[in-house]
Amino acid sequence: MEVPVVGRSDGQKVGTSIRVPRRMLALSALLLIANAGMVPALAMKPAHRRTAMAAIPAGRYHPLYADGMPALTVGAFSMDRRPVTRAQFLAFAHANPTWLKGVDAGASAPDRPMTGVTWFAAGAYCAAQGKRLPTTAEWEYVAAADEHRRDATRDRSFSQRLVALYTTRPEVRAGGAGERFTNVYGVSAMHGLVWEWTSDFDGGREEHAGHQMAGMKHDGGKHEHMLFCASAAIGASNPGDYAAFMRYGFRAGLTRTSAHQMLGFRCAANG
Amino acid sequence: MRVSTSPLAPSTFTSRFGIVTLLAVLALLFSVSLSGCTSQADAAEAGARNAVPVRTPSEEVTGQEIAIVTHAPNVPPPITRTHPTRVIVNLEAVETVAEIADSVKYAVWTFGGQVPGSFIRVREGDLVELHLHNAKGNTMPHNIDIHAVTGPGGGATASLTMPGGESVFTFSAMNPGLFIYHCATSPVPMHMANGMYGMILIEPKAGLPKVDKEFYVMQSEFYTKEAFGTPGMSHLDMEKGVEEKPTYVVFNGSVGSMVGDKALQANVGQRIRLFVGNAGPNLTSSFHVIGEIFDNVYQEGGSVATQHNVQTTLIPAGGAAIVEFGAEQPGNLIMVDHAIFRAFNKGTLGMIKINGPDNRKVFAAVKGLGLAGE
Repeated sequence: MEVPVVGRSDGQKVGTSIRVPRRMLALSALLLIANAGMVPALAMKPAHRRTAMAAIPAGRYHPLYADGMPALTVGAFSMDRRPVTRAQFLAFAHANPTWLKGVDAGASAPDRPMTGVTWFAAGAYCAAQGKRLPTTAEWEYVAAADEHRRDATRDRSFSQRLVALYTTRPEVRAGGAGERFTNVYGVSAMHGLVWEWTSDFDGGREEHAGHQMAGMKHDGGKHEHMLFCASAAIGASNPGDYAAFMRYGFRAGLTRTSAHQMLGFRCAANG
Repeated sequence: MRVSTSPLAPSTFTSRFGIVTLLAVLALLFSVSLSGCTSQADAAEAGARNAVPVRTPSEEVTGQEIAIVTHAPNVPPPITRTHPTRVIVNLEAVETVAEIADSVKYAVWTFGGQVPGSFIRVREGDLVELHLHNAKGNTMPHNIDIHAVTGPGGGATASLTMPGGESVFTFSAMNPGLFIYHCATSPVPMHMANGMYGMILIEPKAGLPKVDKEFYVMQSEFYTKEAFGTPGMSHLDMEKGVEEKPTYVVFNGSVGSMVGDKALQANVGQRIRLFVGNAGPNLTSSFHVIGEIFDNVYQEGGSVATQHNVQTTLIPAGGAAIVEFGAEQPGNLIMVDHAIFRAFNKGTLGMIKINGPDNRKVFAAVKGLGLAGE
């Protein structure tokens, strides 16, 4: 049938009209109705997402292995305020038993960060919440903050403080997933509780696991030796940031199927 | 024509016998010397090649054995084997808590559970198969750079190991000598400051001359926020490390590690060899044994005794030395870093107790307070 593009109350046609098959019209109407329910959801975040996540504004940061390169821009996003707990992950895993495999599913320590899960499991949990793992750039960007400053990494005493947190013996660490300091973004326990998964720790290319710095293009192995011996200090944008070296050093040994008692995760979301 | 024989008339000689003869003689001399140059050049060339060899691994490596590794101050026994073999070495990175001084605890990272790490002993030409294990309870990845290795990172690039994991690499022990090994995971100074170092001896093919006692001594530093001797848990101070201001400078991982009933023991008449390493991470050592003189010093841990009758020898950070001496007199020999404040105030002091009969011809106290006691 013919659908007038512009019509007048007197039915006079103005402008051109488009021939629209009846089937298409019906289908369009159906799609519109089906998606109508999305409109309110898009307009506001679910309550649990609002309180459990912090809004991180866009900004710039210098990755550790990018001396001389321009700073990276991190777009605005949301980050979980705390690492995912055992209770949270196991509730998901019981509902999706394929993710129970190989995981310590005991009921003890429900508020401790969930650890010993692979990158795949962590990603699946986040996806089930409508979230995702943060990128290394996003994670490091938030990790640069202390209680008062968005970027405390140039302050040597901050690096010292983090090193002290990282080197506390595991059996001495105590507390639930929310302990360790809360930074200026309202995000807690980024340091010292557990190491955390990121979506692109291996540069997004599985075969480069252990050799790739997230956020940097693979450049034929030039940076492979960056992690070892004193050459690690060459090209590092902040050689005094021992805490960052430790984190990059830890990620360098990971593969997507690594599961480690000190390795947990938290989720992020766009916007 | 008369030829003048007067030395005052050379022009006459040359004018007669002449230019031609002179030129002929010169030409002869020139060609002779040239041919001499050529063979000399060949010899020099060959000498140069021998002086800087481009080494090759052993042609034949037969059999295999598992290396005996030891904790300081003990050393595995000398090698009696006369052929190259595959030597399997197992090292485990262990993060633990140790006492670095009386009542002073520190979270150390180790090879083999102690600071310093295990002593490895192989023979020149061996094929070493290095297994690096990272204990399951550890929090950090670790690797190893062995100074005896010809290869990328000294093995570090091939051996990055996550907790719970294992890496393996092989290397040909082509250079004899005494070598440091250490963890080289970024940030390297932190891993070294926390105690991840040890030594490997590559015995020369002919072996080392026989001695009666061999010991393993490793000098190293600890940098702590807490003042020297503060009881309780001490924590790494990276700032002090950067400033090169250690709190503790010790032998074998702790103040007093070789003092009192832990002193090294030997007898008068015995020949003693010390394998001494300096792990740093920062300081150079001025190694001296009070009451003795080194008869032989293999400077910098090389394979040849380069100096004799030495009082104090320099050991660079990340280096080693072998010193040998005969025990001629009973008493306590004191090993020190002769940068003497370190010995007295920071812990670089160890003892070798020599037992046996006195020899007053070697030393005799004649008059004064020294007659009353030791």
